[in-house]
Amino acid sequence: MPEENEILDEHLSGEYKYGFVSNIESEKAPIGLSEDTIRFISQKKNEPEWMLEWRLKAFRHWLTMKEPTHWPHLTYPNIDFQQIYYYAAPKQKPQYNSLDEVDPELLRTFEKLGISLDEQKRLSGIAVDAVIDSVSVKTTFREKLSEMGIIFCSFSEAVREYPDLVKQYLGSVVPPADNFYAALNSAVFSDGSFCYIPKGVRCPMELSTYFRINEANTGQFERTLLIADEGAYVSYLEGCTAPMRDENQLHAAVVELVALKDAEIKYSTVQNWYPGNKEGKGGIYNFVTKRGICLGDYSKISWTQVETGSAVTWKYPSCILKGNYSIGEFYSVAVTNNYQQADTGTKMIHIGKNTKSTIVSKGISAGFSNNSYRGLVAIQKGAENARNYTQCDSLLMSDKCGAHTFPYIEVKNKTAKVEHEATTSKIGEDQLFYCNQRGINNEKAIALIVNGYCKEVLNQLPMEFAVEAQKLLEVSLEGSVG
Amino acid sequence: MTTVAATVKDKILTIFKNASAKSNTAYRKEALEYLQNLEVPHSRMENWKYTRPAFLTKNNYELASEIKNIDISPYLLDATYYHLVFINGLYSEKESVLPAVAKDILLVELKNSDNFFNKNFFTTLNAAYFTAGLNIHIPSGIKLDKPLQIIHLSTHNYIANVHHVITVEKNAKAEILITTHSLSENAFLNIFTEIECKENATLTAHLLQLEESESSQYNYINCRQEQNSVFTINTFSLGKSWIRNDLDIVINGSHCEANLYGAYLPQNNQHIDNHTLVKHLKPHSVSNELYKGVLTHRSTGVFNGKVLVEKNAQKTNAYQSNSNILLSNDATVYSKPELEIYADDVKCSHGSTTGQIDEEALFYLQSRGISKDSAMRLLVQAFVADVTKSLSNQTVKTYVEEYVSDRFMNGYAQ
Repeated sequence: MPEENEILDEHLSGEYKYGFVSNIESEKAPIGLSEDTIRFISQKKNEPEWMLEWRLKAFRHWLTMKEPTHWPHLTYPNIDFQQIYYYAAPKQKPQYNSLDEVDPELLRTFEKLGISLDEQKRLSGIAVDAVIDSVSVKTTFREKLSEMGIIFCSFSEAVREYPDLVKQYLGSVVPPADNFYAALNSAVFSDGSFCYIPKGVRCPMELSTYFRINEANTGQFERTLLIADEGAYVSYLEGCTAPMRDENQLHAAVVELVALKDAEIKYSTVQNWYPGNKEGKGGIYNFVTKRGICLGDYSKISWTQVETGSAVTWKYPSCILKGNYSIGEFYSVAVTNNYQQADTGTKMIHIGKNTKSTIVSKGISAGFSNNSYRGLVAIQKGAENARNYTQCDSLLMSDKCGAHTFPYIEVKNKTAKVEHEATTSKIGEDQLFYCNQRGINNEKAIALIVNGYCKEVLNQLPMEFAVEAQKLLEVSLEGSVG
Repeated sequence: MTTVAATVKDKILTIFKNASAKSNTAYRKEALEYLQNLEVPHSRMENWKYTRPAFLTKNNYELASEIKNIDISPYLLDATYYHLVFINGLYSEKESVLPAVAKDILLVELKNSDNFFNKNFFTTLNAAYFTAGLNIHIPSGIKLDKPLQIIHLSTHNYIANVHHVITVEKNAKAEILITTHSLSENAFLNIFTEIECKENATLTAHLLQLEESESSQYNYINCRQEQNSVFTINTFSLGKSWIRNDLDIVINGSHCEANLYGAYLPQNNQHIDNHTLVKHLKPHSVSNELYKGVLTHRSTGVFNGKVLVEKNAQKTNAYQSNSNILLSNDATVYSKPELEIYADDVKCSHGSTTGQIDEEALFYLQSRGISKDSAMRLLVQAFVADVTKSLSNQTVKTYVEEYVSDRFMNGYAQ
């Protein structure tokens, strides 16, 4: 997309214009990946020795691994991992003085999404202090949280201040050697969020990366660790509906959730990274490993995701149901348009007795895109009375796109009850006709039908998020009628 | 890992060194060379994730060189049917009874053609060590008056590589039973069947896997359907063999119908794997698939069904279902129903369920004075009956139903 280049150019020239060139060289690790790069990152972040060791171990293992290319239903050019910068200090965003200077295309999208003016300014990188007093907002949040004993900080901060917690849980859900991208992330992760909810505390607000203390600068290799102690509850939001542009093409994040006895974690994601232009050029590769473990009895982890962005998505938010009576949920809407490709789904691993899981996945493909659901339901031998219900529906919006379902069901206990259902269809002519008859044009009618189709999932999102997500679906599918 | 795989292959290649020396045609050589480049299936291959052909290294196989004399009457499903007999992979003309209309049943010739071997490891193995096979041709307009049974019997530690070519011409109709039997635990039967259903043709095939011993079997069936043809295949795995069935159905005409039914009842340590692929290339066709499994002891059942609808295949209706009952806590089910769809005006759905006998139904029967064992048996029979009720061939239907009721006569096995 030419305007993407323009934006990048603007970003770069912006830096020069305002003279943010100081020490750029020393802030960037040399291109490529080696043990030295990792030492450099670790040193930059003032990490303790054990953290560095942990990274190096992951890196050594990564070297022995192969990129998973044979099973995902995705095609993309080979990634040269030696042509990537693995560390760059958070750069100064280009600063604009008013909204007039911002790319009008971006503003139009903001408007459609119904993002407030203040928010628009913040997102498009207008000098922050001119917009809202964000510092005071953050401080009030921070005070309120720390009163309750909740820790919510950047990952680097957590490594320094709460090493015991980090040591205990880091890599316990997604081991460094888990998969190719998790190993890569473990070796080079730049930063991320750390959150700990103490025993019996119900987090009073939706935690979100939005208000993260270390600036909302989502890195290329993010690492999130969230621990809900006994009886705690937290709802966590990741991402935002606003289009996110980033110059790094490869993103490999890792998210780990730990729910102890009686704890509940609700993790909602709206992903809207740059999907590439209409011809399928550019766009983000999003290779994410997300996994939660229900460690204690009666714990619950619920994933909700609305995926509309990225050129290539490879993502399987999973639940390990280890505690007895634990519950795992996965609600997903994945939209692909133009030449986007998504291979996404979940894994529900039943280990404990009387565990339950629900999977509701709604895929929408338009344009020339390919959208696959890939999910695993595994009932281990000891998982007495496990129950799973899976429903995956696909909606095809054009005759050039593809919708695929690849469920893996593995049952090793006879008391299990596992159900899987999937359908593939298009929007019915009769439905469209019904809307047209009532004066609703095709575009609006499709938005209406799609929103109805996704309702089950959107209902799981926190209120404000749900409204935005609904609009996001409309924007994502714009121009795909036909 | 590579060394292990390499030794497996070396072993396989040396096993047959003597045998292949006898008829070293150029074609065999080509297949052998091709085989060198193929990996022995292992669990990191997506298609072999749950199935390991461990038997390949366990046994020492040989190729049969002469046709054994054996009484085949116990293996005839119905004595009045036409039958073609293969003993240890060799065609026994003496025991066979051929239909008059299809006189041109010929031994398959080894030929140089792409689709003859390059599918996978086992089909290439089949080509390299090919023993015998038949070319069955049903001429156009002919309706075969009686079903035709192709019997495959293994008696010793032989590897039988059989390759059949079945062509049902325009407006023709036939019913074929492919039965497999084994008296030896060390036998390996590798069948490659190419089927072609021409315009308006109707073919019903029954695959009855009835091994009396714990041998091994690989089965590859490739069916190509032309316009208006109806192809039905019923797979019943009732024997004790390690089984992998690969079914590839290509619907290359409009208004076709493909039906795939199957039931598998593995026992002891048995492993049964059913892989099916239904490829819709043309619009307005229908495919139907129903597979049911009842698993006892430490057995494993694998179902991997894929429906692929290509861009042109608009107005396709595809339905796929797999259900399993686990009767033992040591049994395992892997179910993977897949949809891969590139056309938008289609109706495709699939479902998969795994569970145990419905407690309420069991209670209902017990409260009416039926013992728990009998009630269980009744419910299992009813479960399998969903598959058998579609059978029009009464002989096959009765055979399968009786097998199921006998199998659980002495209570349902843990």
